[in-house]
Amino acid sequence: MKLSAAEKTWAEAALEAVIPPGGDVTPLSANDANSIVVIEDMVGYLPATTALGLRAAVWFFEFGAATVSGAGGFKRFSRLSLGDREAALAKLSHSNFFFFRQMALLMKTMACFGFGADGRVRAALGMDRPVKFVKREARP
Amino acid sequence: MTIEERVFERPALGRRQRDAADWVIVGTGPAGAAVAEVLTKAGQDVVMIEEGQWIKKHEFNGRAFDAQKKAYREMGAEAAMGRSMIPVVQGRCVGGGSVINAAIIWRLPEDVLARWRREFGIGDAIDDQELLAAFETIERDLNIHTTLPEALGRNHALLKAGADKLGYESRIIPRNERGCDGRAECLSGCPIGAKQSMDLTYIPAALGRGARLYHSAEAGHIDVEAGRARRVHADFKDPLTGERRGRLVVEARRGVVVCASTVQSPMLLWRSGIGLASGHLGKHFMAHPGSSILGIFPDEVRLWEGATQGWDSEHFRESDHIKFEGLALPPDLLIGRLPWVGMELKNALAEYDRMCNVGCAMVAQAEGSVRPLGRGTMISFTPSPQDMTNLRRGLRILANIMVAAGAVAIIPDIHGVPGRLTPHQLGRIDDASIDPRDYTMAMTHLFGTCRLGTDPRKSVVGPDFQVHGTRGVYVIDSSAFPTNLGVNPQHSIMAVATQAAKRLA
Repeated sequence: MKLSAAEKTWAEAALEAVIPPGGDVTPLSANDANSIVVIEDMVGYLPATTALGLRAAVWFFEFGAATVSGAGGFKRFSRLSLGDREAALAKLSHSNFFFFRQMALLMKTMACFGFGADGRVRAALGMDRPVKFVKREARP
Repeated sequence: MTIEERVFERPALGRRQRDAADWVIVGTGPAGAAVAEVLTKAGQDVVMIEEGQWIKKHEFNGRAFDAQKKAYREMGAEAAMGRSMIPVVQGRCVGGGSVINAAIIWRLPEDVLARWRREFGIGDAIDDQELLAAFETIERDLNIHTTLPEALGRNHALLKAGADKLGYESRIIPRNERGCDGRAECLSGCPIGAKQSMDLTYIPAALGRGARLYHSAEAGHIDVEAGRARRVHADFKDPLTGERRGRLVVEARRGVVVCASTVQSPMLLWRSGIGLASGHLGKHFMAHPGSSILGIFPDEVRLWEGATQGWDSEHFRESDHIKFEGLALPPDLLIGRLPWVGMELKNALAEYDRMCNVGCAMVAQAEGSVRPLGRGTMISFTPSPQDMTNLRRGLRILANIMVAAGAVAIIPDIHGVPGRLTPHQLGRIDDASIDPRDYTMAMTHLFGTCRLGTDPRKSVVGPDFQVHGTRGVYVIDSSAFPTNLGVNPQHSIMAVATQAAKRLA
């Protein structure tokens, strides 16, 4: 199974809402860190039922997230401004409906797999700073 | 013949491979590897079949998703369904869970073993002296020792200090490692081979004694003729795409030892029509589901330095059925646990170097089940209200521990509780709901689906670990354990497997 070009665009719109560009720590977004590869790999290689579920989540974001969150009327998610997408995602992640929270958590997990693994992000988090508390020397 | 010549990931010639051995072991995690170690040492001819691939240490790069793609079942997306959906973490590679766990070592608690004897009629399945001897052997073989200060990390040092201050018993964890330099990458596979996982220890040793290993080979079913297991059928598959590469048939001269995990062992029996008579196959699924909580400290913690798991406490294991573990997650796993999205999430990263993370595992009393669903597996599990009450209490205690150690804020990640609490607001955790859907959880340490017991009406395997009613099929892994343990199970699994295999040899 493979994401179509349109689904990829929709997924990237959702990933960008999870981790947008800008901010003091790092200007990189989830898309800059190529988080889409995580979704593509999962859709491509997971058992069909799980992959289908993930793909359905992408469709939910595109066609349902703005409406059910109340943050974007009946618009499609990828056509909202970044600020509105962030607002819609925040409402989903704090929704009283478990399913909506799960959808937000799923997208957040995918975004962070890519973002947190990026060497530039890790450096911005301080992971390349000199060791202060722990001696890192291999022992026998 | 070299070790490499005894390892196959596809048929040596054509599309079909045949082999024969005294024993066929399905699964190469801690249980299967321990069985292979014992049987080959006793001069038995052994074939090991493993569904996952053999991943070499240089293939691990410290990135969680890359490791999940190669070494985790369903890339880490397997989940137990119930009132909530809880991810189930299982290894699927040569070495199994030992490759992706944090190398935590606990001996089987005496009270748990006593309960098994008292309530489950396990007969003479486990002998105290033999078990002790097995623990000592494994501890020597895997270089088990308490995490050294230079590899501990501040995350765990802070938790120990906080627990000490509040008078809770806790410990710096003994781990199976050799030369760990504290890079907090255990869950992504050790890139320097310091973790003494099965793929680096017992499996190469067994190969050196003549065993053969067929990996990337999914065991399909066991043939039983005249009430006795005769052979195992498997398919070689590309571990990522699932594309078939050929067939494997291995004749078992003495027997088949199923060590495929609490989820996969009952499924193999099911597909083979074995062990169904009692009606208990796949039932009594137990686990240690858990959640984690973060603290923010005034100074650097640097989660990325030190052991992934260097501190734990079983102070509340017997009284409240909960266990605590320091958990230094990498950013690709930890950031997703923060209860925000968008720019709010990014702004929270300004404090990333001051975050401390700790997990609370429930010794859940609830039971679930594992059963076939189409071509896959359905895991059903819902923690009980009492389990959730225990989890909530555990998270509150952990918040107290972190505040005692100097935390200036707590991030609980419970729906309905503010994302960030000051030390004076911790009471909000006590008021949280106990609905499992309100917690972000994961589930490790699985038990019970091929329960051990003397009574064939109430159990799947007997005290000799042989499936009731079928000769020559043994289930030797945590699926035979009658209950969960309340502690990390690798050491107990290996010791019980060692003892059981010695009786087979």
